[in-house]
Amino acid sequence: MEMTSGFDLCPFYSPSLLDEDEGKAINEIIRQSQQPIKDDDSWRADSEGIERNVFFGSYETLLNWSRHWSLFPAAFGLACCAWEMMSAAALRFDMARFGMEIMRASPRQADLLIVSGTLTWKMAPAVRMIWEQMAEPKWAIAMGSCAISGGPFADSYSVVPGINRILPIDVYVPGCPPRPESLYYGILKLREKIRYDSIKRVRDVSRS
Amino acid sequence: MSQDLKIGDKVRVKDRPNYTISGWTGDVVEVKEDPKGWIIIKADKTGYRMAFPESELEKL
Repeated sequence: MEMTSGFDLCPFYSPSLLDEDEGKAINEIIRQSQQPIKDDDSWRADSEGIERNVFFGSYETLLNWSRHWSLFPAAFGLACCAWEMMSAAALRFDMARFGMEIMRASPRQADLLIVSGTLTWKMAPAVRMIWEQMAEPKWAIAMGSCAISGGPFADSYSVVPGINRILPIDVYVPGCPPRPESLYYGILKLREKIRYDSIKRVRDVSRS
Repeated sequence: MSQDLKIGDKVRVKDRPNYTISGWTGDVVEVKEDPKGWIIIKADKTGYRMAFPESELEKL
C-alpha cells in the first residue's frame, strides 16, 4: 500500500503556501495601517447640532425608559412552560430584541421573575425566597394556566391555585403552554407598564 | 417591508420551515410604537393575543 502524506491530500494548503498567504495578509494590513484612523468627533455638541445632543425630560421618564429596555429575567423554570420560555429566549424568537437576553442565574442580579409552569406547595417557599432575594424594582410574569390559577391541577392538594398567592404578579400570560409569541405579548405589556410607572409607587407587599 | 397594518386588519402568519403556527390567522388588535414594528394579533384558533414582528405577517 502506498503511503501518502497529508501534504499530498491537500496540495493547495502546504505549510509554505499558508505562510506565504499569512505573510501577504500581514503585509496588507501593515500597508493599510500606516496612518491612525481619525477619531470620530461627530458626537460633540456644537451650536448647529446642539438639539441633536441634548434632550429634556423628567428623571422619571429617563429612569423608566432605561428600565423598560434592560430587563434581566431570572433563569427559573418550573414545568413545561419553561421550554416555551427558553424557546422565546433562543435563536428563532430572540428575546435580545428587547434588551433582555441575559437570563440571570442569581436572583440578586435579576429584576424579572417569569413563573413558568405548575407551582407546587412544596416548591412555593423556594419561589418566595427567590422573589424576596430579588432587589427592587422587580416585576413578575405568571406564564401559563397553572401559574395563573393552578390550571387543570387547581383542585389538587399539592398545587398552588395561582402564583398570586405567593407573590404579586404584574402580567398574566394565558395558554397551556403559551407560545413564545404570547409570552412576548406579555413582555410587551410589562414594558408598557414599566414605561408609564411612577417612581413614587411603593409595591404593597403586605400579607395577611 | 412596511404593510401599514391597522387595528382590525385580518392577517396571516407567513410560512416558514418547521414553524408550527404558519398559516394561523387573526385580527390586529394593536400596532406597537414602542418597540416599533411589532403587531399584536388575536389569534382565531386560540383567542389569545400574540406579538409578532410586522415582517412575519401578511395582510389578508
